[in-house]
Amino acid sequence: MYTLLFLGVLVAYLISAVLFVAFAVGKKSLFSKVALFAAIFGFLTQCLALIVRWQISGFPPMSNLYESMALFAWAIVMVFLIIEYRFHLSIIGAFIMPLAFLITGYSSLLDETVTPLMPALQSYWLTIHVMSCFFSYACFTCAFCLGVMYLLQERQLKLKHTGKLLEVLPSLEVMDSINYNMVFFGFILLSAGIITGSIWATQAWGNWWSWDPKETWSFITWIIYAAYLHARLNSGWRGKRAAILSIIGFACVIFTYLGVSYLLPGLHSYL
Amino acid sequence: MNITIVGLNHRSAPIEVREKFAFPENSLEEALVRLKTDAQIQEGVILSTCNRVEIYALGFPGEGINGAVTNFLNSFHKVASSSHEKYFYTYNGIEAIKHLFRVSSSLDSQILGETQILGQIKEAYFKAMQTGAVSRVFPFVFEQAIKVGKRARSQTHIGYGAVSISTAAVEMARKIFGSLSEKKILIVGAGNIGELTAEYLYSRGAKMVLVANRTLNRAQQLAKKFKGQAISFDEFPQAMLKADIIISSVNSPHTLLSKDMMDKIMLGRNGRPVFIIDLGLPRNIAPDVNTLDNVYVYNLDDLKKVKDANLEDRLKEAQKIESIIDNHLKKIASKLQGLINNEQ
Repeated sequence: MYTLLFLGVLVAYLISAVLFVAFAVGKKSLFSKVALFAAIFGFLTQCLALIVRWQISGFPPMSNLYESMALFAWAIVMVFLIIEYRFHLSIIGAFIMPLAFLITGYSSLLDETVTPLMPALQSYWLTIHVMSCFFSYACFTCAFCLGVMYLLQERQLKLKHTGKLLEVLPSLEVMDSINYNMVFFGFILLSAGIITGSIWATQAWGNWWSWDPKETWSFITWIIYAAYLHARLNSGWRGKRAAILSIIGFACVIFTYLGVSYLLPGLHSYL
Repeated sequence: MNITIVGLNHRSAPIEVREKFAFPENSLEEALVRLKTDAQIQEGVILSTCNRVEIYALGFPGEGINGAVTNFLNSFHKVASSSHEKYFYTYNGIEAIKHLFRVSSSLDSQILGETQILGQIKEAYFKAMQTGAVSRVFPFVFEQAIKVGKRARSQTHIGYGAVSISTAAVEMARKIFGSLSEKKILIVGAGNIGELTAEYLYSRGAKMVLVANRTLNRAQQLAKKFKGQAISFDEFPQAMLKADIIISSVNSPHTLLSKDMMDKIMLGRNGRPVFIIDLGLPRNIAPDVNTLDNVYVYNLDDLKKVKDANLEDRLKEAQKIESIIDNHLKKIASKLQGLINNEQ
């Protein structure tokens, strides 16, 4: 049952990604409609898959790298669907859905067996802490996609290119403002994730901050996005500079999430 | 029975000739009545726009009807016969109908894909109907033409993309700002294209037009038009702090704005993006101003490039319309033949 649902999600995200890219290239609105439908279908299927897994194991599916990856993809698609609902800019899907597919696909290569929950993770804080973190990652991922799109469009406009890319990408101001919104919400969620994490750490490890690599890198990520918001609000760092900062920030997110897990073992090494 | 067209358009005749043969709105009814009195002409429609004058007539084939229509055109406009013959073109039979379809779908227009012609054809046809100049064949033919014109617009992208300098400027402004509502315009130097561009921007919601011009009178005149404010010419750098879109068309031998000046202005703008439309020739804005972050400078050549690229896209769409027309002609051929045969 779970495997079947997982396969459904993977295929739906693949179809969605391919069609969104086809829409970007061919500008057929039918493609974007089917792509959006596939994304919604994949998202709902993934909701079901997460519930099923929760039922099987008896605890929220966020206890190892495999589960967290699925959660990451799920959160990204959810944030994308919210953006799509709010702004109707299907073209964003051509950047986000391939990422969602790759993350889901990568997770399928990992060990998916259900293992009993480690004693250290048996707490309601797990859900709050992990959810905050992964939704912040999802927001930052979307901000990253918009940053890349912004830089592409900015280049088209500066070089006076008149091709398809110029036509199909949204206006600079719209991308800049969505980018800002994503960083803003991502920052709040990351702050919440760090705070809940340290409350939980006080209870579980008796120490609210231990300079564990994950903590350190979360802090560095937090600093970068804080700098983004500060520069934006106080020094008018918008547009290109904001886009570049959101791309650098995303690199830190990925390192905090994956790089630390693989390269720098510490207290968070189950993720 | 045969359908024929005698006409002239922007390609076949210069404006002086087109003017001579144009039918002003108030003379159209009289013209249609006179056209119909010719014994050889069964049905007639007169299409008269600023780019074309065309007489559509149904009558007996051969020299007879073409000659009758040409005579009508000459005598109605009191032009010596045969003096302007070289400006006329004629189409007969299926070629005439194809021409009408090409006109209604804007393939024959001066600006490919423009939208006015379909309305003008509708008007010409209704006018002919009101005066009783059409009966059985032309209503069918013109309704088909209107159908083809609508289909050309809905099934292809023939009307997409800006194809003039000023609309190209608006298109780029929208690529930068998205919505133009509440965006502030500054006009530096009042030129015609600049004014037209401001008009388009204004109609899309852009606000607070500041006008800086060397002659204050003209500045005030423009400012009034856009409910804006005239300022003295030397004040334009300060005004750039407030404006989002700057339209510059100053006749000046050297540039008015250097990179250093703009750099300072951007500091005062707190990084808010600015779109500068440089319509001056020679250019008003130093080329390297475009290298600054959040500053987008488009000069006449850049806008022409945008316009030409869109026109090229429209040419590709025109190919699709040609085949829509051919298919439609095949579809209606037998019905049309039946209608024409009934007339005999």
